[in-house]
Amino acid sequence: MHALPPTPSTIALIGNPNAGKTTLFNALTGANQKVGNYSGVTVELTSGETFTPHGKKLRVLDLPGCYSLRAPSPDEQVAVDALHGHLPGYPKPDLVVCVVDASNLERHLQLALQVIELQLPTVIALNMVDMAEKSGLRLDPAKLAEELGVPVVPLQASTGKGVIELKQALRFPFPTAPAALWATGDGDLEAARRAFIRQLCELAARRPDAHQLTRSDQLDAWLLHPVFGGVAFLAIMFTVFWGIFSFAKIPMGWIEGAQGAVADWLRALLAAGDLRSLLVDGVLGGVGGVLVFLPQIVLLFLFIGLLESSGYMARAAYLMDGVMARAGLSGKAFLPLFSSYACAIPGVMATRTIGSAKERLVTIFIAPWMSCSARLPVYFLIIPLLLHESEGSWKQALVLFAIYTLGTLSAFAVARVLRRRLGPDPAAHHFMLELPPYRLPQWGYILRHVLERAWSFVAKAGTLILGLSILLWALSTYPKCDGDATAALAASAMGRIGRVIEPVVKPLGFDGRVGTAILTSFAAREVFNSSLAVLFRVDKTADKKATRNSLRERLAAARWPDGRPLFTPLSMLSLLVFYIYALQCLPTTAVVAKEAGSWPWALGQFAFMSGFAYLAALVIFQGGRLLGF
Amino acid sequence: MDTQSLIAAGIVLVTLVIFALRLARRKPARGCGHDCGCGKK
Repeated sequence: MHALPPTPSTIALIGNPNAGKTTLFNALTGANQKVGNYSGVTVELTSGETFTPHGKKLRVLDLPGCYSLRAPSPDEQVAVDALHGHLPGYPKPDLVVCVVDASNLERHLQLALQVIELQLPTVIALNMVDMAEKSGLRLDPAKLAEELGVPVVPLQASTGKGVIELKQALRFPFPTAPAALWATGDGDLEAARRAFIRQLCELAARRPDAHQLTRSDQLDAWLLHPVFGGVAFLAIMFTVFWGIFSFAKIPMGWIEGAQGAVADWLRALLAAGDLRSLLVDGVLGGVGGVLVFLPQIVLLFLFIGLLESSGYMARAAYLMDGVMARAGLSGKAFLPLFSSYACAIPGVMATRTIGSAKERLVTIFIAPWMSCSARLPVYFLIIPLLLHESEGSWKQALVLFAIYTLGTLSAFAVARVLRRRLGPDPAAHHFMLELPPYRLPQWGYILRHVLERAWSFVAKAGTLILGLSILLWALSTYPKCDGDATAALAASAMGRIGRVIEPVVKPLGFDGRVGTAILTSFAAREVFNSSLAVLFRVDKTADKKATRNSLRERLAAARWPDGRPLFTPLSMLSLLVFYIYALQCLPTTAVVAKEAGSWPWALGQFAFMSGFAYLAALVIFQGGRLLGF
Repeated sequence: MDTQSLIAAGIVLVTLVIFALRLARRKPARGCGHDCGCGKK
């Protein structure tokens, strides 16, 4: 008879936000969960596996950060429920690893003491000891362990130093549940904890008498300055946008060149016909119209990774607290909103860090107006049409900066109105922000994360966009009719759809083809580029050079039937404004419904944003015409 | 109908079938990154 394999013991990683739990989780399990040098990165429980030095399998739970076990926000409630074994599918942990930032011991030990009071076997992971010692702190882990009655392992999770020693501390039998020596009296437990921590720090974490200004303090004197801080914030953001346009040109040229070469090769290989048209105009044009913006996407995520890893993000949240307050939100809403610049879905999920239910609802509502990366291919296609490269990258960057600013300011205005309508909170919610020390970027993590995002973009182009490009080509080809390319397109299903849509979009400055491309982009925003590539294709031309023209050049040459240019500065502005405001992402609507707990809220958001996008584009185009543009 | 037209129509048909099958099998997305391009699974 064989004995059943024992169920792996469960270890929970708990700690204050930005204590390095996820970095330790990645080091223990070999996973690549998102980490950042700011609080609130983890809002969901993550599970992984590791092995003790003796080969015993352990299940590791990475819990969202929390300051105490009283749990005012939804993400903190997840951590508390996990510790008590109340989360469905997760047993009560056999051992708790309390991750503590060594340079902030006094504050982080508050949570550690509360965990010890639960009478669960506990190990303290004293993280970032290098930073603490650099700041002049004299740590005595052995003394800490003796006073707390639990093993204390000093480590540096970002480099893996001390992780082996931690694994050794996780071996069987687990340490017994310690006695909470400070909680023996009948007095105020909070005060008893504070007194115990003060005494403990005097013994085991001594600071030199004179306060030393660290390099982070010196940098913060400038970067958090009421005036220079704001200027630095704007300068950093502008540099990011300028960098995206400037550095992406060369690799974009390579991609366009490769696309042109493959198109030429296919034209030489196949005689004119449906298959050639499908491959060149449908597949290559559709997928290429999106893929060409890969360098810009990579650069955006590289810059975001640098800002997250360096510790500047927390400073940005601090600087924005005043601006957020004017919109009726707290600085806590800044990080979810900033995450939404990459993708609204993690941004909406990150609102779990917000304690106030009303503020959370409002933040969820406005998050999709932070321009996400799926809008970038559209912006990158239109902006150079509006301002040619010869005008200078900084002008193009300025337009992109203005797009982001317009989306953000509009979101704040809506938040202000909504917040007032929802009324005040029944209880006050305080905003506490961790300002971590500045650190050198974790290049390994940043590059892995950028590669992951780039792969996700390429995979989407190779699956969803590829499939939709093929279907779009079919819609623009069938039913077939004899005649030139223009007549064939007019007779196709797409041409007919365009004629139906044209009266709706003409007041915005668009023809039926652009209207059809907008309609198809409700499946995914990037499909707009693919649709334009298929709808504005150049085929059967004797001029070989014309066939090599990029999509942008073809759009610049597009005309209304009366010969007027289709893409005027005014119509392009109208198009950009439409894409800033339109919520064309069904997964976001589904996640909003889940997080807000209300489908009417999610559908109301979709209807409001679509309607607002239409009206804003209408005002821009018609207003511009009235003013004589 | 020439060979090129037949092959092109076949590719379109296969794509349609794949989309239909994916739609029929679609499960509620959990977490993030399935369609939004943000990459986090």
